[in-house]
This record gives sequence, C-alpha cells and structure tokens, in this order.
Amino acid sequence: MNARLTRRDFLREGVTFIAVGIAAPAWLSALASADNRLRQKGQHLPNDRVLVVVQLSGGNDGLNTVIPYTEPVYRQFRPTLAVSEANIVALNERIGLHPAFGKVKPMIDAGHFSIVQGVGYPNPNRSHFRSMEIWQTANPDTVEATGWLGRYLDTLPESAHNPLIGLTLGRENPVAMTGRRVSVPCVASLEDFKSLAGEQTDALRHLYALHQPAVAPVRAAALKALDAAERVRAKLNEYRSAVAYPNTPFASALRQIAQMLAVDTGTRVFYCSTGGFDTHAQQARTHATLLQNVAEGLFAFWQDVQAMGKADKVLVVMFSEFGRRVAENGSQGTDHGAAAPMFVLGSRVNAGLIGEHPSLTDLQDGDLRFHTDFRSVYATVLERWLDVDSQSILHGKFAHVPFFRT
Amino acid sequence: MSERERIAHLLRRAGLGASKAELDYYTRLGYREAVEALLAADRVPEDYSQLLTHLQGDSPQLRMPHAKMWWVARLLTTRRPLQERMVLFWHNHFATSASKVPRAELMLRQNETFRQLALGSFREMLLAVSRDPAMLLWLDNHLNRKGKPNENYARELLELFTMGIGNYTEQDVREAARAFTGWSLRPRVGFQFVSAWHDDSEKVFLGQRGNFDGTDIIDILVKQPKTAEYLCRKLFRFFVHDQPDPATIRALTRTYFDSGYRIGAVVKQILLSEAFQSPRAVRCMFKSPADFVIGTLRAMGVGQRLLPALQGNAIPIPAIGILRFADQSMQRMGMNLFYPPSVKGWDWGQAWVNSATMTERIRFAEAIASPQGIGRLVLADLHSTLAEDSLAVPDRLLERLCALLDVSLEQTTRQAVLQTVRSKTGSGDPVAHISVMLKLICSSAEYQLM
Repeated sequence: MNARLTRRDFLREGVTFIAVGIAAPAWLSALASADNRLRQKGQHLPNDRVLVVVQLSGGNDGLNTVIPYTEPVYRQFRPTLAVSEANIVALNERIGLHPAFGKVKPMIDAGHFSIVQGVGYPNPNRSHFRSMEIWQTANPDTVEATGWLGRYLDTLPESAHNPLIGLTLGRENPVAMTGRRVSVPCVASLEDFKSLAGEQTDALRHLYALHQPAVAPVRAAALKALDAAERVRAKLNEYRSAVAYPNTPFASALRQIAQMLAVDTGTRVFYCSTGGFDTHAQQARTHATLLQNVAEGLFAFWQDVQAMGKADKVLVVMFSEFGRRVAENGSQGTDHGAAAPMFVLGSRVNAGLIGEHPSLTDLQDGDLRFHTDFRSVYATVLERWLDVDSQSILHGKFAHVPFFRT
Repeated sequence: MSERERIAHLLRRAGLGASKAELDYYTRLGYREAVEALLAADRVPEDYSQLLTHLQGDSPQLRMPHAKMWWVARLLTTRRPLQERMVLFWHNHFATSASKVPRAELMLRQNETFRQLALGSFREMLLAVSRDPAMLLWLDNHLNRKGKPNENYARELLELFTMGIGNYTEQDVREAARAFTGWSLRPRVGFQFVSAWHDDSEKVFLGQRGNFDGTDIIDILVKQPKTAEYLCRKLFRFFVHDQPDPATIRALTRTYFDSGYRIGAVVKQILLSEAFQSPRAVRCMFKSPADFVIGTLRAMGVGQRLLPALQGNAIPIPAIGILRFADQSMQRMGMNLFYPPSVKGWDWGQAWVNSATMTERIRFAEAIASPQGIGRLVLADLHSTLAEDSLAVPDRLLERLCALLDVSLEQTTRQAVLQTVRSKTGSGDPVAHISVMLKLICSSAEYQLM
C-alpha cells in the first residue's frame, strides 16, 4: 500500500491522526478532524448541495432557443432564421424549443428542467465583456472585483480548509468565482492535474516557501494547484462513469465534474463555459450545433448524476450574457440584444416554463424587454438551494422566482 | 541597477528575453542606443520567405499548424525582438481567431500586416485592419450591407480598438456600422469596396454629421483624445505596469498627436521613461506564456541553434518538434496563438497565473529539464555553455543557471533548490544537478515574473 492510498484511507475511516510535516497541507488534517468530529456525533455533514454554473459565452439567441412559434411577428422579424413550425419541439400551443435543443424535452417531462423566461437587468449593456462582468459580479452599477459565487464561497467555513471548495473547469478563472477571501483553482483536465501530485510535491512545496509580496500570487496559485492535485489524486483513482458522454469539450468538462461529484471532493460550486454563441452571420447551422452540444452534454451529465444517486444534491444553472436582437440582420445572423431565458436543471424544480415569454411587439431599441432580474434567479438559488442569506452577496434584496417546487 | 541590468530589463520587456550573446551585444551599445536599435528593426536583415514553404512540406494545403509553427519559429529566432513583441501586442489588440477564418493564408497575411505596421501610424494600422480579410471575416463586416447593417465590427472598433467602452453611445455604434457597409471581400483576392452595398446617406457619429464612410469614421476616431488615452494606456501597461499616473498618460497622448499617431514614438517614450526603470516596474510583471516559453528557450540558446536548421530545404524533425512543443506549451498555459479566446484578446497580468496554468508551467519545466525527449534537444549545448569550473560545485552551478535564465532567486528558494539537489541526486553528477536545478528554477515563483 502506498502513501497516498493510506492517506485516502485515513480520510475515509475518519482517523484524526495525520503526520504533519512541512510538506503536509494544513487543510488535509483540518478536514479529516472536522469530518471525524461530525461523524462521531452521528451527524451528516452540513448542507452538501452542489451548484454547477454553465456559462454560454457570446450571447445565446434566446429567441431561437425557446421560441414563440405561433406568433406571426416572430417570422416577420426572422425571415431566414425562423424555425419552421413543423420542426418545433412544442412545450405548449405557443412556445416550443429549437429542435437541436430537443434533448431538453425528456428532462422537462421527467420534471427536472426549468426555463425561466425574460431574464435580464435594467439598462442592458450590449458589450460582451461588460455584460458578462455584470452577470458574474451580479452588479450592473459598478465594476466589482468579486463575483457572486466567490462571495457565496466566502460564507462557507469549509472554504478555509478545502482547496477544492470551488472549481472552474478551464484555463481561466471567471470573476464569478473570485471572492474576497476565497479564490478557487481552475483546471483544464483532471489528468494533467493529477500528474502534479506525487513524489515531486515535497520539493515543489519547499520551493514555494518564500513570502516576498511580489510573487505572492504565483506562490498562491502553485500551492493551490499542489493542494488540489493531491486531493484529486487521493480521491480520483478508480472512478469511471458508465454513461457515454458526447465527444465535445463541453461534455468533457461536465464528465469531469461528475467524476468529482462521484468521489465527494467536497466541492460546492463548479463553473464551466462553452462558447461560440456570438452568431452575427449565417447563424442557423452554427446555432443548431451549439444548442445540440449543450442539450446533449447536459442530458448525459444528468443521467450520470442520477445513476450515482446524487440527483437530489445537484443543481445546474445556465445563462448567457445577453440574448440577441429580435430582427435578424442582413447576414442571416443576429446582433447583440437584451433579455433571454435562463435554464435550471435539478430534481426539485418546477419543470417547464416559468414566467411569460417577453413581448415581440413591445420592444426596447429592437430588443426584448426583461421582466425578471437575473439577481432574482441568483437570490432564489442562494436561499432556496444553498440555504444562505442572499442580501449581502447580491448587495440587495431580490424577489424569488418560483422555479423550485414548494 | 547596472547598465547591464538595465539592458536585461529592456530585453525582457521590449525584447523576448535574451541569450548571453544578445545581452552582450545590446550592452555594448548602451541603453539609449539599445532602445534605438530595437525600434529600428528594419535595419536588421531578416528573411523568412522560404520558411513557410519548407514547413508546409508535402502538404497540399497551408494549414493553421504550419502558420503557428512559422510564427513560433520567428518568435524563437528573430533578431528584431521588439517588432515581434509588437506583433503579439497587435494580435492581442485586434484579436482575431482562426476559428472563424477559413484559410490559414489570411491569418498569416494579418500577422504580416501587424509586423509591417507594428511601429508605424495608428491611422494606417486601423485602415489596414478594417480592410484585412481575416478581420472582415472574423467580425462579419464582409456581410455588412446597406439597409441591414451588421454591427459586429463597428461595435468592437469603438469598444476595443479605439475609444474604449463608455465613451460612445449605442447610436454611434449603429451609425458607424452603416458607414462600414460595403467594406467587403472578393474571394481569393481580398478587400473589395462594393458601392451597391454601401449606405451613402447621412450619419451622425460622435456629434459630427456627414455622409461618412469607413475611412471618415477612422479619421474621426484617431483624433479623439479618448482613443489616444486608450491606446497609450494599453501600451504603457503592456511594457511597464498596470498603474500609469495621469501625467504620464497625458505626455504620451501629446506624443501620439504630435507625431501624427506614430506608435513607435509612443513606445520609444515609454522605454526611455523613468517609470519603465522604476522599482514598481522591474521584475514585477507576470510573464505571459510567450514570455515564459519563448523567453526560456531563447535564453537557453535554443533559438540561435535553431536558426541554421530552419534555413535549409528540409527542416529536421527535431526542429519541427521544438516548434510544436513551444506552441503547444503556450496553448496549455492559456495562450493559443492565432486563437485568442475572444475579440478582447487575453487577460494579461495576474490572470496568466492560476492553478491550471502553474500546473502547465511546472510540466514545461519538467519537460525541458528531462534528459529524454524534448529536454535532450534543449539541454544539448548547455554543458559547453556553462563554464567547466561551475559544474562540480552546486552553489556555483545554480548561480550560473540563474544568470543564464535571467532570474534572481530569493535566499529561501536557493536553499530549497540546493537541498533538493543534495537529497535527490548523487554528489557528483553535474548532468543530474542541471536537470533538477533547471526544473526547479523554471517552476519557482520568482521565475514567473519579469
């Protein structure tokens, strides 16, 4: 039996003693003893629900995702891009899904997929970058250095000990996951990450022992990588999913999230993105492929989560920085718009459509008007799912949106 | 700082790191002359005209992997390092991704435009970029037509290329889009103005009224104080640090206008400024993946050794291997050349350093320090480069390697390295010592700064 198996077994058995040398990460022993104390009292761990946030980058065309297919103005505004009624995956007699998004339908029928319509914020910003920042920081008024998920993670006591309290799949960390106190690791692939741990770790830990302020961020990043890599390596040895995921980068990110869920890394928030939604020209085929990748990826992930018996523990929330202009442009594409639907996937949701589709006749500068502030969706997730007061995280009180079953 | 240290700083920031030979050369010139020499890139003869054909080899079509290797080869071997650094700047500023540009030639053509106009007039640069096929395809302006304008290019021109967000209205975006209608493409030829698609009616743009076309919009934009400020600030941040004081930016914008929008004049003023040499600047900038990968390989003399191999008809496989390795390493560290993550380019500075990218930097260090694979090529001449007397004494060897890699390690880091060397390798094997040291130096926190 090698050292890392022993260490993992210590965790599993709840043995509190771990030899602490210079190279032993502090979180490991702290976590082990905390877990053990709770187990001895016969308690379950505190709220162990997980949030997965999916970002659709570039501005998803919400109007061609969740479609008011019987409205004549829809076809007038979209002479080349309107989806024909015959191909619509109908949800009711007025609203239906883009056929490429069809894999969402069985999840709705199972009572697990909710579509929150008409989401946005006042004075919509049509810059990708500013609007994305607004969604991630949950602050349309001023530029803020922390994000809503980071501020949530700041409230968790475990964040002091668990280097994987949050995780971004990808090579860059969004501001959404940055807190005042917490900064989460990001990882491009768990396999790469694992290769970091092992016999070389001690030498590297020694290397980063210095405290010169100029290099502090590097040191923090490297140590975070080592801590997280060790935890991943200790946990992730045998698990293989039985579900076949599509062969896309998005599905691969979701598969890795499922792997982490399966082995209980204690991660509370996962973040991943998929891009290409900035469809200014010849949108039809591109958008269909994108929607298909998203729907099929989520479908596989949800099957996997159900198979491991964690459907009650996982909620997925999906958003884009804005919708697109109602009228298509001259290049069979659409320019930057405003309000759009958000999507929520989980076993306790009110499946199907929440709220009305925004009017196609009462527009604002050619764009759909929002009726539900995105921070209301966040507030609902924070309070109803993550069980935390949303006011300080969102800098204000926002009405809940009824996408959870009561 | 000694003159040599000042020059080393200059070459880290305005060059691409330096081998010992390069540092010697520029030090002999003195600081001011070194700046002049870097700016006068075209005085250094350079010929990469055959390289692309050779890289393409038997492949019937030029593809992006060839284009990437070509640029990486230039970055590794150029003797005009400031010019190449400016190509990186412009690639990031006018960030265009090959993901939406169907032909590799067009990405290379844009890359050459950046190179030719790298330090020239910003007005000319904007005109060239507005007519550049890759850009026209990337931001859909080739489809921008009268009556049904496509706003994509006009918006990013205002938001990211000239004035910066917050300095114009949504109406200005829509009016500029109308002015650029008809700026299109003819397949296999390039830019084409199609007057039938152009909306010649009146526009109101930034308070001015006229039957503007794209050139008029650019002429209005380059004269805006906000454009001058946006560009000068971005250049200052690229070369110096993140917090220029207002007086410095004012002085740079004056130069921008006085020189007739010359980028070279602004860059020269930055490199000769006190701020550039200040403690707040020196060794306080996070290395980008290009600085880290290209800088390391150049410092180790890999660029110099590669040059003759790239000049023959048949490029040796190990040389191709190095180019691929460098490109893929940068990609894994978050900088996929020719594929910026969005039209905003990459987030520079501290954003380069996170757990995912540090993992990759450590893996890179491991690869080049390994006696097998790519490391064998990288380490090839290292023994002869290092003086004989240093090999047997770990302290001295570490000092030499640090000088070679242009890094200054903290005392605690030095001790950590030496301790690992002692515990992991036998006492007298300099090859093993070099390997362990190189890996740890390149992984160190200090080495991630420049």
